[in-house]
Formats: sequence, C-alpha cells, structure tokens
Amino acid sequence: MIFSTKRSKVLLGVGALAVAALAVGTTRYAIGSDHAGTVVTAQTRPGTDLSDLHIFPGSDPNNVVLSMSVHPLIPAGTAPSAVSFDQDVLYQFKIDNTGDNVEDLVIQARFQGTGANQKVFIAGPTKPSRIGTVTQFQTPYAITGTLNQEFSPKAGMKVFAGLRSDPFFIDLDQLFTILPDRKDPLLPSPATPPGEANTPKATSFRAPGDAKDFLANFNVLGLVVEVPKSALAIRAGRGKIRVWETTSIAQ
Amino acid sequence: MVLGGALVWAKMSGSQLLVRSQLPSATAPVVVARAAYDPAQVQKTLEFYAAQVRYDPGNAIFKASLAAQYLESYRETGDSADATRAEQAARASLAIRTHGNSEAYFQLSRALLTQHRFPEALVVARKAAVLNPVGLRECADIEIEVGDYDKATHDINASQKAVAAAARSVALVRGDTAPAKPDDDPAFLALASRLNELHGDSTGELELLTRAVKLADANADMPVQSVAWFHERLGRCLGMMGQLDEAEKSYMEGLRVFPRDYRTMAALAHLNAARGDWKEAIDWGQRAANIVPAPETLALLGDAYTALGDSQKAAAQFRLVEQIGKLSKAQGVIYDRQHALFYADHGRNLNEAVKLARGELRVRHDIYTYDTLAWTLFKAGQFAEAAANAKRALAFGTRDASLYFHAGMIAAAQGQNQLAQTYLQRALDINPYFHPTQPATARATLANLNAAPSPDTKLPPTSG
Repeated sequence: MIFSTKRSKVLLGVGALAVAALAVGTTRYAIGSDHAGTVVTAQTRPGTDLSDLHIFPGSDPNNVVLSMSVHPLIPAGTAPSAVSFDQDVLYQFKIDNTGDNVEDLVIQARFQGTGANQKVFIAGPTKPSRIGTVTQFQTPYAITGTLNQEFSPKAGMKVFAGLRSDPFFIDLDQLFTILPDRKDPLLPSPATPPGEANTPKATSFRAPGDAKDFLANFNVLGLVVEVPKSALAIRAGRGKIRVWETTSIAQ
Repeated sequence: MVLGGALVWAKMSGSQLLVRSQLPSATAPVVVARAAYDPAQVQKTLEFYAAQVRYDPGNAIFKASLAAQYLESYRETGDSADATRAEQAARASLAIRTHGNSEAYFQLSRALLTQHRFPEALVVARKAAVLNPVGLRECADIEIEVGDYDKATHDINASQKAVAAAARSVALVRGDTAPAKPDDDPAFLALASRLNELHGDSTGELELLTRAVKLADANADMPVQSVAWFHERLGRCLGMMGQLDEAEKSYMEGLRVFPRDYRTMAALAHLNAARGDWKEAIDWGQRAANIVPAPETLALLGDAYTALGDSQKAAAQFRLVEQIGKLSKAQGVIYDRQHALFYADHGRNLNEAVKLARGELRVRHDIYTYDTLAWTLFKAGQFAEAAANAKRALAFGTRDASLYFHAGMIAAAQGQNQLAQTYLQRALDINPYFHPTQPATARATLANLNAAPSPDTKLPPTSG
C-alpha cells in the first residue's frame, strides 16, 4: 500500500529543512511543539496530529530512544483503551545519517484494530523502498505488540505504543494573553474584528508557581522506540543523525 | 524472549503477505470497531473541563472547552439548562479574550442556535468566521434554519474555497502531498446536503449523506454521538424517499454506536408508525420520551394509542403535549413549531396554533415555517392565506411529501381540484409512507376529487 504524507514534524519545527542533530555524547536540546495543527487534523483525524518528537539516550549507553507524540489533548482520566492509533495511518521516524536531509533509514509503525487489543506492527530501522512524501510500509517484524504494552519486536529493540502524559508544557493561555493578536499563520489573514482592542494584556509569562501548564492534565499517544545506536549507523564518538517524524495516510 | 534478528527476518519473509493482508485497506469501506459506549463519558469529560477551569480560572481556552462539553451534554439530555450553561461558559471565555478565540465564538453561536436565538447566533458566527473560515459553515447552518437560503449557499461556497485554500497552505508549509479536501469532512457534506434537500435533489442529498456516513464510520476518533447523528441524517433522507427498510438500517446502526440517542429512537417511532406498526412505534416513542419528552414524540404516542383504541392513554399523552406547551412558553420557543403542528393535526387550539406559527415567522422564514403557518391557517379555515403560505413552502421544489400533502389539502379546500390532485398525487409519489394516517387521507381525497366533476376543469364531452 502506498502512503502519502499527511503531516510531518521536524524537530526544532522552524522550517522544512530544520532537523534535530543528535551527536553522540552531546544531545542538542530541541524545542518545538504543535498541538492541533489544523482544525481538520485535530477534529477529523487526530490520529495524524503530531505534537512532539524527542530523542534521548536510552537505558543502555549504547542505545538511543526515539519518541513520537501524536493525538494530543486526550483528557486525563480517559480510559487507556478508549483511544488508539489510527489504523489507516503509517507512523514513521525518518533518519538521515549522511547529512543530506534525505532519509536513509525509517522506523515505521502501523496498527490494527481499536481499543485495548490494538495490534502494533513495527518495521525498521531499515532502508525505505521509497523516500520523500510518498512512502511504503516495509515488511514488519513477525513479532507484534499490543497497545499500552512494551514489547520487543527484535533482539535489542524495545517498543511502547500507547497512552502517556503529554511531555510538552506551556502556559498557553498566557501566551495568547501576551500575544492577543496571534492568528494561525496558515489561515487566511483575518480583519481585526471591529471594536475589539488589539492590545496585549500581559508582557511576560506568569512566575513559576503561578504559571499554569496548559497540558498538565492531558495525555497523548506515544510511540517510543529504543534501539542500539549502531542500528541507526551512529558511530561511537562522531555519529550524527537527523530525525523527523511523519504520519501518512493510504492513497 | 530474545530472538536473533536474522531469524526474525527469515520468519518475516515467509509471513509477509499474511501480515500485510491483515492490515486494513483504506480503499475498502471501513466500519471501525469502537470502544463500547460509556453512558458516563460525556459527564466525565464535562467534569474534567470544569476541573481544568478551577485549575486555571483565567484560562479562556478551558472555558470554551467547557462550553463545548455542556453542548455535548445537551445533545444527550435535551436539557435546555445545559444550553444556557454553555452560553455562560462561552461568554466567560470571550470576556477573557476575544482575539483568536474562534472556539468560544463557535460554542456561543451553537449555544444560541440551540436556544433558537437565530439573529444573535448569526452575529456571533460571523465573528467566528472572521477568525476561521469554518465559521462560514456555522453561518450557513443558521441561515438555512431561518430561510436565508441564498446567503447560506454563498457562505457554503465561500467556506469551501477558504477551507481548501487553507488546506493547500498547510500542505505547502508542511510538505504534505495530500491536502485535506472539504469533501473529506463529513460535517461539510451533511451541511451541503441540506441545499440538495431544499432544491428537491434527493439523489444528490443521498449521495452526500452516504459519503458523510462512510467517513464517520471509518473515523474511530469521532464521538459516538456525532456518528449516530450522521446515521440519523441518512435515515431521515431515506425515510423521506419512502425507503423505510434502508432508513431503519441506518437508524439501527446509529443506535448501535450510541444507544441513548433519543432523536433516533423518535425517528424509529415515526418510521414504525408510518408502517402501521403501532406497537413498535409506542415502544420506540416511549424510549425516546423517557429521555426527552419532545411534543412531536408524545403526540405520536397519543396517535398510536388512539389507533390501538386506548383513548385513555392517548388523552394522557395529548394532555402532556399541552402541558409542555405551557411550560415551554415560560422557557423559550424551541418547540413552538412542533406545538403548532400538533394543534393543527389534532384540531385543537387552532387560534393558538396560528398564533404560534405567526410568532415563528417573525423569527424565521424558512419553508417549514411557511408550511406550519399554511397548515394551521387551513385548519382554522383561512384558506386563501393558507394557500399563499403553502406556495412559499414549495417555492424551492423540496421533495417532502408532507409539504405537498398540506398544499394539496389546502387547494382542495379552495376548490382548485386539479391543483389539489397534482399536489396530493405528488405527495404519494414522493413517499407513500410520509405519515401514519395522512397518506390515507390523501388517497381518499384524491378518490373524491376524481369522482366529483371538478369545478375548475371543463367536463369531458359525453359520449353516446
């Protein structure tokens, strides 16, 4: 089945070519999150709505963890079985280990069924048979997992797909108070509504203790993969990779 | 268990086809398995957002979300207090911030629409539309309700263009190859289908609603209440075309995902009554009325008991309709049209019925308000004015058998026999099951008209 990219999220999130660099031994911190990217994405296809990508050292110094957050804004208290990944979506980590911003390896996930028994299929890290925005699900491992349960599709690789607390934090309402004229840059430019003052009501974020994390009580679906660095062709001491994540729907 | 990588790959190659064929194909129609309906879910989510508002009382976003949850609750309970609470929460959100707060405008507009405060709802929807082109659809929805069909058409087209343009921008910026199309959005399809319905294009309406239902069924993330709503729309469309079995299937599918959907239960009561299955009609009607005792449902229950010869139970239901009429006078105007039709259908309080219909016409001038006024005036014996309003109700060629039945009976009362024959025949052609008893009235009237020499047609030359 051929998939076309519905959403993609690059770490740092400042442009199509921005990438996350992971130098072994020195992780550069990346900041960028985007919840409910568009109305259509958020309301009709939240399973394609990527919110975060994190890369960090694994439980073993030879390992690296890639973590995708998707389907944001799930209220805390929602049963873990009530929300699951979109069956028609191909979830991917794309990894460039040669510095040309083209994916050399992909780690892919697809899901079957809904609810607590949803099955998790993992492929990769492997060389993709197609690169770019139109991609293909590679042959998955025979060992499949279940939603919300850690499993090992192959030796040395650990995967978790399921409900987790949203790792991002922001005092979002205060941001909108500081920038009341903020508009979605992707929507047509609105006229300023008549009679409504377009003046900031605050100049800074609230102090620690007063600030409220908008996302404190929300969950996401997390797809977390731990693999040996060697599986991503990161060489000890000088390896560097660029990682981005995509969600694609079948064409 | 740790398996060697090579072994796994070897195994995989053998089972590759099996595994891949197990994965669903997006091209095949998909009805996703959903988690079982949790009757407490809406309340739980409402309480979650109420807690979020307590956690950060100055937060405009949480207040708008709370408003949305009150409206979700309203959809389950029909409790008008929920609509009022939604209005208050949305206003509180806008009191904190108006800029960029399209969500609060949306919720406020919907809360006002729910209360049939159409002009206010439209003003607010326009503000939402300035911030977000999806707001144009809210405007169109309200404009259809009040009968401003040209404006609604304009807004639907404008929203389609704006949403498509926004989706293209999104695709461009994000490098997507498959920008979302308005046609991917079941809510848009359902809205657009209302114009097909208005203009008598049942085929177009059915096509759009069928697509909308398919999209809703395939979306595991859509709330069950919304999924059921799409099935109810499709069922209603099929039912109006006289395809009762197909309509029933759609209703039952809606109830399967959302078992407490009182609107669908009421629709099933009407469907079974149209079939003449009064017992089944009572069963569904009672279940619907136990959740929300809408006048239309209670009146149908009364009709069902009458048909089964239980005049006591029928009278009890009819009394209830009247009591609710008095109550709703104090609470608002949501059920005025239903009450007016009830009075007209049952030959009660005809002056009050006309008054209610005229009152409604001050608020909106859609075809159904004209139809209600026509039917109440007819029952009150004011045929000329009734005919003028029936004509307005049919102005767009809407294929609704009830409209033609009403117009036909009015024409017959005016002695316009040929017109009456045309209208009544049309009603029966569109849907021979449009009402439990009125199709029989239409047939009997047609038989009389056919038998009697028509005063407005020349008598055929006698032979022999």
